[in-house]
Amino acid sequence: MAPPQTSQQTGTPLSPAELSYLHTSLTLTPPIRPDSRTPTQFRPLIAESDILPSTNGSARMIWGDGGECVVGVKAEVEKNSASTGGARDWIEISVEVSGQRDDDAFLGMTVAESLLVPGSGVLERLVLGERFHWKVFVDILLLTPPLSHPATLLTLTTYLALRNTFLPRLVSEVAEDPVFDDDWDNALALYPIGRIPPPITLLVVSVGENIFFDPTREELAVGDVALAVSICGKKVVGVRTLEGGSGGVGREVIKRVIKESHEVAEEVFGSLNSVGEGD
Amino acid sequence: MSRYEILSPEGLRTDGRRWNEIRRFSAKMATTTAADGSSYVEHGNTKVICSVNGPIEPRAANARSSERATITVDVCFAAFSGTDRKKRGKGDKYSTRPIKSPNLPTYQGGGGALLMGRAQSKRRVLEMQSALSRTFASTLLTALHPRSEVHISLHILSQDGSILATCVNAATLALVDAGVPMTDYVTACTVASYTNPDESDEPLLDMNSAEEMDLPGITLATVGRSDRISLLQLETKVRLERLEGMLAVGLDGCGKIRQLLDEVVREHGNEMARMGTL
Amino acid sequence: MPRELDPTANEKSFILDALNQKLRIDGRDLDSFRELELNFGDDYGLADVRLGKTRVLARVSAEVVKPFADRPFEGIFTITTELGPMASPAFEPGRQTEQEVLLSRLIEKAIRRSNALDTESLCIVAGQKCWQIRADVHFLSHDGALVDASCIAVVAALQHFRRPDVSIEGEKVTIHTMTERVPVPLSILHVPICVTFSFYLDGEVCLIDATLQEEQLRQGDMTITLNKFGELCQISKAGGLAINALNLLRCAKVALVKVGEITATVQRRLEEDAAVRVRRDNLLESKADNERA
Repeated sequence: MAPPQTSQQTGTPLSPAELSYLHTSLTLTPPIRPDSRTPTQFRPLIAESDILPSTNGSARMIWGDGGECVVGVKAEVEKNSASTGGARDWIEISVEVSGQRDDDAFLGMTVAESLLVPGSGVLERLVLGERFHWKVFVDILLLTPPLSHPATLLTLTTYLALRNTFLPRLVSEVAEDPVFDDDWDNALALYPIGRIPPPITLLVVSVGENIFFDPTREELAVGDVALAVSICGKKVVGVRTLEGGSGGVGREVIKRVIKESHEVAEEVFGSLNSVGEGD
Repeated sequence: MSRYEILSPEGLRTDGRRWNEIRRFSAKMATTTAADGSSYVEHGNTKVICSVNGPIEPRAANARSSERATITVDVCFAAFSGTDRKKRGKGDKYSTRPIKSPNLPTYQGGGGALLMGRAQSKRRVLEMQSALSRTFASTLLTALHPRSEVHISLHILSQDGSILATCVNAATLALVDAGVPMTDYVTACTVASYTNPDESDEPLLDMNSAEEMDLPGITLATVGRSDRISLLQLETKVRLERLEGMLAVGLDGCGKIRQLLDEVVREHGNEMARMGTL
Repeated sequence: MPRELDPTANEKSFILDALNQKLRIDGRDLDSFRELELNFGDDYGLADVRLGKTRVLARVSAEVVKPFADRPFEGIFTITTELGPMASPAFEPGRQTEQEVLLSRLIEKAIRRSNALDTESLCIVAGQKCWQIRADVHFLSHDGALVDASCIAVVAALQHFRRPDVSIEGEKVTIHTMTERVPVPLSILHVPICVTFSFYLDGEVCLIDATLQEEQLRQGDMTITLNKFGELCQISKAGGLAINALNLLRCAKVALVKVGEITATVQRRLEEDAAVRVRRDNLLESKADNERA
């Protein structure tokens, strides 16, 4: 059965007949994706890290459909103050979408929420003695929004930038004003290897019995339900449905999504962690 | 920094260059498929991403001209591009369209050209946008596309001097990539005027931000191989007699940049031919 | 949005044909200014500049404020401009257009950033009190060369202005009224003057002090700011027709001559005004109904 959607509703330039054809081919076993990818395969992307010398950590990603995102992480020393929201304010995230007048606060909040997962130990690493702490600014610049949902692009780029973020090592005593080691070779990683890494969000769409990672806009248009799966290290920390799907989602599908997300995420982490190692 | 540290007695600058050397220059074309043309230029530590869309239907009604295409430019400094993180407020973004705001205080906080009050930097960006738009308006064959718009969007990811010049070069590459008809490359560079201890002057090609802060200098853009200057800016006080020397070195520098851009374009063309996308 | 009326096709071809023969429709040479008329108000710091039909008024005022935290030893100097409908129906009130931003940036770079006014001399008590000098530029009539005219108006007004004298005894700061003590002039380090060049016919023709019609027809422009000592304060050629480097240098030399002439005119007018004031003050003082000390 073809989903009763027209091109006006989905925003894709496909006719109802084409959408129906796409839906059918995605529900086959094994499914056939229009670009002949396997269900778990991503589109080609370019990822660079450490591109900006004036930041503590940076990354740039260019997605196959033209989506481009740059993330810069900057850290400043700030005095502790009791009046503000406490340690939660130590990481500030802003998302700027090129060509839009106002920043996308909603996207920023989504990313921030997943970054501040309790127990990740990040906030402890920002403490500088008794009176000071690092304030980390994560600025996400979405140069060209991807045609599909931007969550994956944003979080993967942010992951890469944060993974490559280093803070100078503190050499002063706890009660003193902070003094830092000026040798960058001794700098500490904000997210050291072996500790809980920053989370990423993967987009999954389910069509019939099948699930697909990194769906294109057309696949999202015909999907029953689109899910944003947040993964932190080896744990799935959140599954959220996105609007626009045409049906509900079965328990079995969710289970499979979570199971496969683990495997896919592991590969994603593996490949992202290898970015920049060749230098 | 005292001005004698800018050039050592051996004739080397802070980053080890000689007076007529430009910094490491690397550029890529067609970095994204989402725009008609795009480019990424690294000039030393100044990094700029540019994308061009057009000729397209004008987005704003007042950008429509029945005689020629209008060129709109958006320049955007990333919050992390400077030494300190730029604190941005709401409504700091705008485009070449008229901005609606009352007269703003004009005090320039901080010392250097980069550390400016918000209102000041907003006006500076507007000035840059207008200069870029007018520079390309005279070089693109805009009369071929009446009632349309060519939109250039520039993102400065990292600033280390010569920002306007790098923007010009990035925009040129992106316009070539977009296939917007133009008469020739527009290439730009900067020249500082350094005062030797014996009061004689010495032009220094391609300023980094430390040199930009301490020395007077010009930004100039030329069209093609000619020595015709389409953009020339000087913002600090300097003796009139020095202008000639600076222009001569600048014209030479623009020639070098043109060669570099040409190599990038040719290489990109060869690559496209190899991939069979031509 | 209202627009300036474009010259008609007839006017256009007539003006350009004339320029091709190095003739301007108002009979001037290519490199001559319209007659500069400079008048001062009764109060200190009011300058009224007329260049042909262009008329610009600059008013300088001073007040005592707290200096900026990062510059405790410096006074504050601001220049504000507003293009209103009085100058031309094409300008809307309360709306800052691109043209206006560019114009004010140019004046600002020419005068404020070139340190024409010694801001350190405006400091009263470091970090506590300083003078804020404010120059308001009003455009009364627009017939081209707004930058040149407003720059002359501002520098003339700054030189004409006198601020109240101040004396400090320990912590106490006294600001003396104009009658109590002779007000003091501002410390002006140099007098920058802007000269705007307009280019026509692919750079063949280059003229200065263009009228509004000439401005509308030009292919490119460049503003050079110099002082009479031959120091360049600012050059702004923001795109437009590309011009040969040698021509640009020639323009700069022409500008230097013009700057010398204008500075001399401003100086002469200032002296004439000062002489009138002395005569008037003497007259006032010798009045019979003055209180005898």
